[in-house]
Amino acid sequence: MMAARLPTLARASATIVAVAVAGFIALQLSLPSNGADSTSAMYSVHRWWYMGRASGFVAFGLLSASTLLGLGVSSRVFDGLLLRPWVFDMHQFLSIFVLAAMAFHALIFLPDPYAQFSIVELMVPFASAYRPLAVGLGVIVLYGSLIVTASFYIKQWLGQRGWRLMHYASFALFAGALVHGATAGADSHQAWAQIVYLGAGLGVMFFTFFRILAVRRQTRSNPAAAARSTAHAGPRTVSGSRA
Amino acid sequence: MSVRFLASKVTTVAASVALFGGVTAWIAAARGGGQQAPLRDAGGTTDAAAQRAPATIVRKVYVVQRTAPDGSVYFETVAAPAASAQPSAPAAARRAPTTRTRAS
Repeated sequence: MMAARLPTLARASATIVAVAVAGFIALQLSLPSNGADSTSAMYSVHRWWYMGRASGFVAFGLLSASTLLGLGVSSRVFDGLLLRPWVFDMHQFLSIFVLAAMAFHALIFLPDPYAQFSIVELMVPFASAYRPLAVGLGVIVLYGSLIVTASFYIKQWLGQRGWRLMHYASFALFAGALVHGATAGADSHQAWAQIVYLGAGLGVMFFTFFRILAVRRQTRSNPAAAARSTAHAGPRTVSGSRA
Repeated sequence: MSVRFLASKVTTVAASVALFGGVTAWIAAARGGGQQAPLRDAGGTTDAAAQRAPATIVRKVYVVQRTAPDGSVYFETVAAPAASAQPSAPAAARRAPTTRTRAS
């Protein structure tokens, strides 16, 4: 039992280390070098604010990708284009990576000498004085994503039905992240930001409907196979096919 | 874990880092947007009125022209005096106030 968990722990540890190293590199790349022009915007006290805004878009992009790949696993829409084990593996990886991106996005505001956020404001829902509803929604999305991602690893205790019910929360979390970005983001009035939100929202909506219709069609044509597919569309199928 | 799977993850991390750096630099270069971070006074409370305004006065400072011992001229910012110690009209005219704002 313990031996079986070791690869999972090793993979999770490797992911965390990779994310930490990537975050450090990103920080070093974003901060000005010693020879930088002191009038540069990146040299200003607002650099934390800029990094927070940028990391928010990166986190939202990763969450969108993770959600789309998750829909791809269950609807099998990518079959023929991508290997299903790869789709599932990337979905699982992104669900962890997006947690790190979300945490980075939240905590990068902490050293901002201008905004003066406290750790409580950034980590407790609705405690922020700045746009409390919008920021609070983002904090809830962070914790919700943590729970849904953790469900990958406690599926044997949750059972298939419990795991599936918990996974349905992903749709609400994606919608919450979209609303958080649109209402808390300082770039939401920009055309490019609206295109990002609209594109991601429509993409997830399209694949959600595709999944619903695919399951219905399968149910009509072969009810027994549809029941098996619905019950095993998650990691168990993929793990089985990989093994 | 196959090499292909690992390569995909490394690529994802690298692309995310590159995207983060690029978007940060882009936002910083553009200094875009008409909104700002929460603004607070010395007591740490948020100025709600300042949040609503697209560009808000944080605090007034004066730019004072100084002359260095070597004769060169330089400018220095000094905090605005308290309301009770406002300078007289001629003095205020000599020292035109400027504002510090956060564009985004």
